[in-house]
This record gives sequence, C-alpha cells and structure tokens, in this order.
Amino acid sequence: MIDRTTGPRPESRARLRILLLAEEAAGAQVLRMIAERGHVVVAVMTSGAARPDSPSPVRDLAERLGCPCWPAEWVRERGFSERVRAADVDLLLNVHSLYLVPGAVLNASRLGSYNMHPGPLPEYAGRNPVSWALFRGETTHAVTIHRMVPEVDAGPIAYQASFDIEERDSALTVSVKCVQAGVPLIARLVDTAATNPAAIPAIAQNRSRRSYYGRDVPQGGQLIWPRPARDVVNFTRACDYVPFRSPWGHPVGRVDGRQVAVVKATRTGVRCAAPPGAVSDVVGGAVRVACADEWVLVHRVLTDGQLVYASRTLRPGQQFETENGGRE
Amino acid sequence: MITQELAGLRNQIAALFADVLKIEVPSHDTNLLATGLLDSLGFVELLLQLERRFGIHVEMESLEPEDFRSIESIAAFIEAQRQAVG
Repeated sequence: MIDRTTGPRPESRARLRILLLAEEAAGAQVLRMIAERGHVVVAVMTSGAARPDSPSPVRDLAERLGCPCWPAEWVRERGFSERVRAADVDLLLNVHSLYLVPGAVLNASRLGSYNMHPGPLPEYAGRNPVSWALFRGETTHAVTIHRMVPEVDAGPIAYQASFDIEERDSALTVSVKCVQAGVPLIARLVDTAATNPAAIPAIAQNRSRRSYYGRDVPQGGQLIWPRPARDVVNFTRACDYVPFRSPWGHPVGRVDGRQVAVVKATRTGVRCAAPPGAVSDVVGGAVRVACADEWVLVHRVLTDGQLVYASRTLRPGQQFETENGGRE
Repeated sequence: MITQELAGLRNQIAALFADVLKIEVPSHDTNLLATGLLDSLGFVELLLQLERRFGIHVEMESLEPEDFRSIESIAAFIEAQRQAVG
C-alpha cells in the first residue's frame, strides 16, 4: 500500500493528475489553463454534468477537450474518496463549486485539495465574502488559494492576491476582480505542484483574526436611512450583482406602506438636514433621499418585481418609513 | 424587417461571443441571462468588449438587464447608443 504522505513524489511526473470541481466561467478558465499545461484532467465535476439540457460552460469545455465529466453531487456520496484514490489524483481543485467537500475526499489526493476563495483569509471566511467586504466599507479585497481542511476556509494559505475596491465597484465587479486575480494564482499552484510540490506555501491562518460569515443578511435586509450615506450606499453596492441575482436580494425600505428595494445608489457628497428617508428632488431618472449626513442618489429600485428608474415610483415629498428597522 | 446594418451588428456580436467569450449562443434571440449562458465574468468581459469594439459606454447606474437579454437586444442597444451620440 502506498503511503499517501511519503509515497512517490510527483516531481518525477511531468503531468499532474487533477480532479477539478468547478462552476461558471471561472471554472472554465481554470480547466483551459490545466489543459494548456498538458496535465491530466481525471474528471471535471460540475453541476451541469447531471443536467445536459442546462447551459454549463465548464461541462461544454470539458466535452470539447475530451475530459470526463462527473456530476458535482458525487463528491458527497459515500465511498467517493475511494474513487479519488483509485484514480490516483495528485491535486483536487475547487473553483466556485457549490458543494462542501467531505474530509475523506480532501485527504484522498496526494498533494492535497485547494480552494479559490473570493476573499481575504482569515478575515472573510464563509459565505458571500465580497458582499460582506463591500457592506463593511472595505477599500481593498483579496482572493485566497488555500488548502482545504474539514473546517470551512480554515486551511493553510498557499497564495493570496489583493486589489483595490473602487468607489464605483459593485459586488459584481469585485467578484470579477477576484476571478481575474485568482485564476493566475491557481496556475501558480499547479506549476509549483508539478515541479516542486514541497515549495507550495502553507501559511497557517491566524485564528485570532478569523471572521466567519454565514447565510444571514446584515440588518435583516433593511435599509437604515438614519445611518451615514456611506453605509447606505455600501449596502446597496454589496447587493448589486445586476443583471444577476443577488444572494442577499436588495436592501429594502417602505414608502407609503409599499416595499421598495434599492438596487443602485450613489453618494452625492451634498450635506442634508432633511429627516432621514425623505425623498427630495428628481435628478434624471434618479431621486435624492436623505441619510444622516448627506443626500444619496437612488437610481434604480425594485418594486412589484420590476426593476425601474427610481423616479418612476418615488416622488418628492415622500418619506421612507424609519420605525421598522429604520432607526439605530 | 431589420436593416442590413443591424443584421451585421448581430453577426459581429455573435462572433464576439464565440471567438472571445467562448460562448456558443444557439440563436440571436436566445436569452443569455435566463439560460445562464452569460455569467458574471462573461458579462463584465462582454461590457469591456462592447466598449472597446463598438465605442459605446455602459453606465452601471442605469444598466438595463433587458438590453443584454439576447444578441438581438444587445445589437439594438448598441444601435440606440450610437444614434444617441451621433
């Protein structure tokens, strides 16, 4: 029996055997990178494998490249770790997969299992790190490649790349920056694993700095107008994946008993003394709404399931209710 | 009836999807968002390419998802942007 820790070292192998768990265009980019380097793709595990009628860039590319395609949900099946061992996998890579990988599977590859996490670790572990970072007003963010261990996002860090968050950035654009910075890091990991796996960095995470974010949406999803404009706008940016679905939905308020979700808002820098939540004048398709310190421009809102210009549904003189979650 | 110019625009956009974004779109009226053919990464790359190739600018604040629903609607959006400018 081969000792998985001290067994044959893959330096002698020109080609790694890689099992890729991947979704979306980011997963397809990593698959293309692996194929271009001539490594063996043992299989690509993606949700589209079990749904041939649904679009899946990863499955489509895997088929074009002639790579075996396995349903992503197999990773949770009893005995799957034995399948990974039997396939003699060197490296398991997880890029935007929707499934948690069981511990037995994580340990079934020779060089370990690695995840591309769209946030800096240990500070932003867990779900929706991009949204949380924007909500908290961060001006920098990072993507982290870390070894996967049974505890979510807690394994040693191999590589991390940071970048600025601009004021115009939304959750959508920051997510894209994560992919753009993360795929080259995965390439670096693969190259190091192929040539000198002992050189893959393994920086233990400082647990005292760890923050783990779960499924909850901050503020119960409510906009709090008596907060500074910066906070109100940051919450809308944190939820802004337009034209895609936001995992948090959009922050909501109530006007005249009607729920209005704010989808796009920007700061004006103009101080205001109006009561927080007061709707002021119309500026193009947008309206100005008062926060604690300045006006914000609310550009787009979601009301009755329709995305519309704010001026279509909000009128000067109206007032966002503040009694229900609206006060600090 | 669509103009020759609009038809040409649709073909250029279809080529952009196939050659640059590596997305095979079955037809010009395929819903790119609802089908999941276009994800966040592809969408941002699409915006960059549209700005670069067709000289338009997309304001994120006023971004209208309907404008990016299909190759047909993207072509109509570009056409409208060009007419607004020129």
